[in-house]
Amino acid sequence: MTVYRKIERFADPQKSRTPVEKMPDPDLGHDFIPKERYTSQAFMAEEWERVWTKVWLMGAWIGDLKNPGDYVVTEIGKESVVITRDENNQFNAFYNVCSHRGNQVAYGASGNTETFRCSYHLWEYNLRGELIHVPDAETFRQGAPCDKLSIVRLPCQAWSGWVWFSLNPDIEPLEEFLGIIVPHLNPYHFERMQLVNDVTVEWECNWKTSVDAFNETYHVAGTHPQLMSMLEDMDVQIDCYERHNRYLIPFGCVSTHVEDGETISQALKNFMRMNHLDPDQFQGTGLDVRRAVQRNWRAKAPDLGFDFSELNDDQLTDDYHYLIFPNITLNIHCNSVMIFRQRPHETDPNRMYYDLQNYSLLPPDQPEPQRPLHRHFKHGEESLGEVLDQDASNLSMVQKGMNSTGYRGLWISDQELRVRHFHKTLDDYLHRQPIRWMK
Amino acid sequence: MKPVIRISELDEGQMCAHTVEGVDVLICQVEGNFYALHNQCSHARQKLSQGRLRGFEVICPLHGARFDVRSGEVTSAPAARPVTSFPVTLEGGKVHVTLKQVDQPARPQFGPLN
Repeated sequence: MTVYRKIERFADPQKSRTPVEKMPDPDLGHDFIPKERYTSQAFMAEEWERVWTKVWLMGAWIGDLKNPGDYVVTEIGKESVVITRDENNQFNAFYNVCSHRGNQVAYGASGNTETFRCSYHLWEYNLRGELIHVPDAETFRQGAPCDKLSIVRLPCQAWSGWVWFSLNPDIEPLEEFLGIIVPHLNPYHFERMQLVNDVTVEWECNWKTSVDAFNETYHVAGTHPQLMSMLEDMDVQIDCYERHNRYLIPFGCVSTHVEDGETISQALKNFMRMNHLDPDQFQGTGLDVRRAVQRNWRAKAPDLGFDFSELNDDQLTDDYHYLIFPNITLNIHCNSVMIFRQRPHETDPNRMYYDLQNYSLLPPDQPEPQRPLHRHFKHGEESLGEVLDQDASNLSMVQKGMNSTGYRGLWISDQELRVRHFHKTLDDYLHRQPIRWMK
Repeated sequence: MKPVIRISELDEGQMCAHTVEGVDVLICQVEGNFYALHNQCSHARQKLSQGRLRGFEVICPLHGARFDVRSGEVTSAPAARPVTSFPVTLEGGKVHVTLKQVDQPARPQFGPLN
């Protein structure tokens, strides 16, 4: 490994609202991470009992729940959950299951309604999941009391642009679970962003195979060589917190793995254009682009109607990349966020659902765009773009490797510390260990 | 139609790369016929000319994706999209290639990673 340069960091960390101090790396050992967790039915069942039914889960974009009566149906494992905004503008979550014979009560991915009427026998529920009407109630000799047969409600809270829910009735408040995420990411104001792309892809791998794939930059040189002319893959700050973790990837520079840091590639020019800096007028070299893009945003953002006053200079170019345990990966830039929500398959540890959503900050004078249609397809049926296609092309092969007798387990480098930290947090949940704050 | 090399310059089972009007073109000779492809793997933009030619397949040196030189079609992962293939004409002892628009890497609709 040859590293030719060092990346310059934001000069005044004290002034950054999003904390940028490097956390001391936790000592998480250097053993193999066992491979069975990617393939075993028993491990999958343990994850359901001790992780998926214990944590907060991202449920819906608030943009889909703007008006009273709006609802979203979201799936996690074997469960279908309804999230609503009621007449009092409160958010509610409840199981999508009729108390009578078990049919679902909300159909389709989203909509607006006054009540949910079961299609089987027309039992009717309000926006809080409370039973309000039973046809021929007098024929239930044992009674069909509305107050006893409401749908089981779930904890439900909003943070930033999303409504979150939990299958754990005793869960801590959302802000407590999110911990550092709230102060770190509030300065981006995701609630101002618009959903511009909404896709679900069925991938032939375990959900953790996907989480791991996006939790290290070691794979950039191998999997995405074309990105080395526009971002840094080596001098990347990694921070592990209580449950969640992050790394800060410098964008707008040539990788320090590449000897020639001065030549401005087509990819770097495209990055400049996307950030309103004209590469044809640019006087500097590749070493100057990142700072120039930052200065340019500072100068132009107010005229473009964007308020980046709560962000530090590095946030104007770099990818502040977070994992919200267990399954939310965020690629965050000043004017966009790309979210991966990794969901397990209902029954098969070798399959998963990859929800890809892109959000953009749009100029204030631009009319609110149409909500993009949600698309659902299998891997390979549609392109996700060159970079994500490259990631996706590895995953089914990695999953086959996890199932191989000849594979020993994951042998992890320091560049992949977040992978180890994620699995350590997972182990804490599985073994019901208290989550330790590591310093 | 652009003359690129002399027929005699390229042996059977060999390939070479030439820039034609700014386009990087891979030329191969297999079983006495000449074929031309865009010299860039559709998976991670590697130059295919640095790889190997085995029969009608060109093998990318980086990740081992394979393409049929007759059509540009993928014959092995990790590539999923074909490489642009150019029509070839032999005339006056030279290999001529008719250029056309090359397929660009798949662009994400959104986000900075392009």
